[in-house]
Amino acid sequence: MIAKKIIGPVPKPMRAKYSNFLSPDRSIIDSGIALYFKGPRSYTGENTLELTCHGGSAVVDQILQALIEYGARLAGPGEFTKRAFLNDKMDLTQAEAVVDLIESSSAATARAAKRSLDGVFSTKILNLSTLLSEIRVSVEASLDFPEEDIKETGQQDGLTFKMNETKDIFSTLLRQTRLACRVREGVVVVLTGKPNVGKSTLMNTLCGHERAIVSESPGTTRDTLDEDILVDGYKVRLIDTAGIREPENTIEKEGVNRAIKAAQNADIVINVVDGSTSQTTKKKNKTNDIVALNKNDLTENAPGRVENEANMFRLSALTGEGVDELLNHISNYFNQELLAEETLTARRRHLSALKEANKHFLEAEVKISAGRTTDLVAEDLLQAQNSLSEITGEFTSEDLLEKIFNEFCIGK
Amino acid sequence: MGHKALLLTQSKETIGQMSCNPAIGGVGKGHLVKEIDALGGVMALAADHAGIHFKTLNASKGRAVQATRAQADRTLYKKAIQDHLNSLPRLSIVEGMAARLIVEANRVLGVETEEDQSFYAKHVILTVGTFLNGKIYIGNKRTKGGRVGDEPSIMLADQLREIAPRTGRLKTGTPPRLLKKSINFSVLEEQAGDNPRPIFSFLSSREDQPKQVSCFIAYTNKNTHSIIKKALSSSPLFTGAIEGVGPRYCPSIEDKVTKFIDKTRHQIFIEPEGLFSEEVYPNGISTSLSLKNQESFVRSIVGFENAVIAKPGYAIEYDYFDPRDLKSTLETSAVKGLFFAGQINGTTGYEEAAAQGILAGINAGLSIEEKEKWVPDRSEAYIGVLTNDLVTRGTNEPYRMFTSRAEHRLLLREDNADTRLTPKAKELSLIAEKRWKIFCEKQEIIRKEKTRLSKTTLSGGAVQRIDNKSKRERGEKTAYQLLKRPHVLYKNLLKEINPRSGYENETELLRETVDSIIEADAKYQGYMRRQHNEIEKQKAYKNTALPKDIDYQGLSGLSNEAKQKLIEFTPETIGQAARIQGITHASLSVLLVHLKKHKLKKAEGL
Repeated sequence: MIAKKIIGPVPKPMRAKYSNFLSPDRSIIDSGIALYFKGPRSYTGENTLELTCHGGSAVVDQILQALIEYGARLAGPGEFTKRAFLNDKMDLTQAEAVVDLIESSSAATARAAKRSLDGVFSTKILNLSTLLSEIRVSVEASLDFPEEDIKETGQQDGLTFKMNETKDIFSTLLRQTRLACRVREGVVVVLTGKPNVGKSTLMNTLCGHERAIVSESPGTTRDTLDEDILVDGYKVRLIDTAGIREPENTIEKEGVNRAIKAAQNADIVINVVDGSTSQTTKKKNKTNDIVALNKNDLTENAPGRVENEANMFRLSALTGEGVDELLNHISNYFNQELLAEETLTARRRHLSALKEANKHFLEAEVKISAGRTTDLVAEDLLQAQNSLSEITGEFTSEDLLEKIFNEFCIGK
Repeated sequence: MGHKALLLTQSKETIGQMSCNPAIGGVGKGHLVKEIDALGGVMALAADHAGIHFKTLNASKGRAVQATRAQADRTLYKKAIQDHLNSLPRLSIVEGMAARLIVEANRVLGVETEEDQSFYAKHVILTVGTFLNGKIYIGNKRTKGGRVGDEPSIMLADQLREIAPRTGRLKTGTPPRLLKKSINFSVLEEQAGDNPRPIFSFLSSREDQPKQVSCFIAYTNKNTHSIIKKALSSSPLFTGAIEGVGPRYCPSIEDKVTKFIDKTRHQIFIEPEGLFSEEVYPNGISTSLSLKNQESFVRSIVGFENAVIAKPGYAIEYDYFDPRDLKSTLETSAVKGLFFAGQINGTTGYEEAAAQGILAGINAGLSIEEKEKWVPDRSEAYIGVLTNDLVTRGTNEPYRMFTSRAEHRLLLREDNADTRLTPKAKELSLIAEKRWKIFCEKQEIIRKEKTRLSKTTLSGGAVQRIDNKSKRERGEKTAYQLLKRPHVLYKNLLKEINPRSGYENETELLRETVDSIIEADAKYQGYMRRQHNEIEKQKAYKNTALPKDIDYQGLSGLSNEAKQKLIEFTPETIGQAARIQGITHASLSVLLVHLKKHKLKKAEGL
């Protein structure tokens, strides 16, 4: 068994044993506590071995490496909790906190999403859904009741108006949901820049700042690629692309891949530039990009925001001057959007359902202006409604018919 | 299929009689008729032989929702149906009033009539229409009747209530019939039939269709509305004398006037009853007001000032049985071999009834042959949507088919009903050689042409000539690729490349049909492929069976409403559960997870 390979004889269940953790060549990687739980009396309900070792990522890496060589595999996200749930060790409510627990359906995510919907978000979504169903009512009524005198109710202009209104609401809601998701999961801030401009120093300074809370104690040698910190209570994931290098083993490789992917989806890019030289600053690519003119301590300039530039800051990662302003800026990024409305709590699943719905809706709009046949437009609108119903619950053809009959006087 | 059958009916003379309006088809309904035809049923053929006014609805709104509708001459329709039935060698027709089912040990053995005759059969299909405890209302007069002039079935109704206790009352209504010669058509809007004339059956040609006439349109007005409002106290619908639930979409004129106060006029579609009939059917003014009130409001309508009512309008209330107590084949769960089809299940419309009838008949036949049952999927046919809706969701108003009920509407066109269903019909021995031959010939021409189009490449110049919207394009395009574009017409394509081989030998009708299908298939191909992929994805999880002994109460993740619905409906699969109103995606996920746990536990021997 794998357990035997790493620690030698397996201890009795629930009895901590001081053990040596052995690598494949039988050398000792580390020594620590091994704790064996025999199923079903364990977290997952299955036989579980817990190893507590000394801190330091290198040690943890080596132990993981050894375990993989002994035949184990890295758990997928949420996998322990998933097993716990499937083995009846916890119910859905408890397991809900884990993202993507149940693979079989986005329906499950809808349940969780529904549960976590708070007042404001759900009201907005419901409004959107209602508007969409009103549009569908017009379209479908014209299809199923072509001989009826429906035009009398002055539909055409009303329809265009509703389409535009819906489009606006979609776009606003998407923007807010994206932000809300980021708030929940953390905004990704990436530090980019040429070598030796001081990215890593800035990284350390940000992590060590009193307004930032990190998981590791400050001063720890940092060769990590990314760090999750809380800035004024907002989750920020800092990624230092300087740390991206050739991976040496499987663990590193995964980490590097993750960092690269995250950097590609960055919310804010801090382009670090050596402010002490006369380097020309690159133009911003996206509105959220920040330029950090580092090494300000070597200049005569006052630290802080550059005049007439919304996103350019003079600072010194070494001395710390100007970093406060940078943090203010990042903090404001959250405040601005959220101040307008109450906090939306939204999960990533809401966002993807909303994105899907919007995509279909826009396709319907395109078809209408291209003069495509109504049955195709109706299909896109149906798909849009289906996507939304993953958040709000089903809106069936029965519901649609009900609306049609309430609105139109139909019948022979 | 070759099995012997007996048709037991109150009156041979009324076989094929249309109780309500003399029309077949419409949006959704037309789709059903085509499917019935594709399966070898007779409705479409009869409609062609009796149709005196044909229209294609939704012609510009897309192929998926395009539908055929025909006004039928009642006499010709009846004759067509009766001629057909009389020509069937293994069908016997007997007159009698069914009084009682012979049931033993939960199996039906036959039927007893009021005249004390007994008939024995392995399967009995009840298509009682609106006759079960039928009550007719005209103003304050109430009479028992299944249709004006016909007796209701009461004894049978009582027995059925014992067998299938979940029952309800529905109502439907008809307008007064008017004497044609008493109407002033000169002031009314004329509506001629479509040219080229649509055809219902895949087997018919335009020569089969009789002489064509126009329909006319009239409108009610403010006077009409005020007369009706004043008369409401004599309307049984309003005094509550009628308990049955009516359809939302076919409300009486009383309903319309009270519910939609702002509408200054309601449309009336004047349907001819027949080429030689003296009556017309004014569709849109269903009513159960007293005769006197009917006369008043009718005469207030422009064009009807001197109208004479030949037969008064009336409301009819009747029993129906909860279709959720049926299996997907329409066999009752309570009694083996007994099938219910038509209004008895809560539907309205000849087409909906016929669709159920043919499905029940097919499955009765398959049962005799000890073969597996057959029910088309929701993605295969409107018949599938219809039966699935009834059996899993039930209905609390007279159920009528609409295209919006079909989530796979883009796949279910009128023109591909035969592609979808005729091969199955052949497999089940439902159709004659003639139909199969015609079908195969058509399919072969289409297949060959599609292949030719896919292999024919066009020069840049040709592309620009055919597709006048195209700008300079790179790469070669095949004719088929070009045809997929929404604005490219097949006939323009044919100007550049030669017409298909054998074109000269095709009849005009065949040519027209093939051209139309090739055009439609090309335009819809992308959507259809996407839909099929979706369906495949869902199939896996939809067919997941739900064990019979599942304890819904014990599933903590389900809402109370979901638990109650699941216990009430007892779905057999996840797919069926999904169709139940009140069962959300959320509930489904709880079920799926429970099943998974169940499987896991079983696998580990727990």
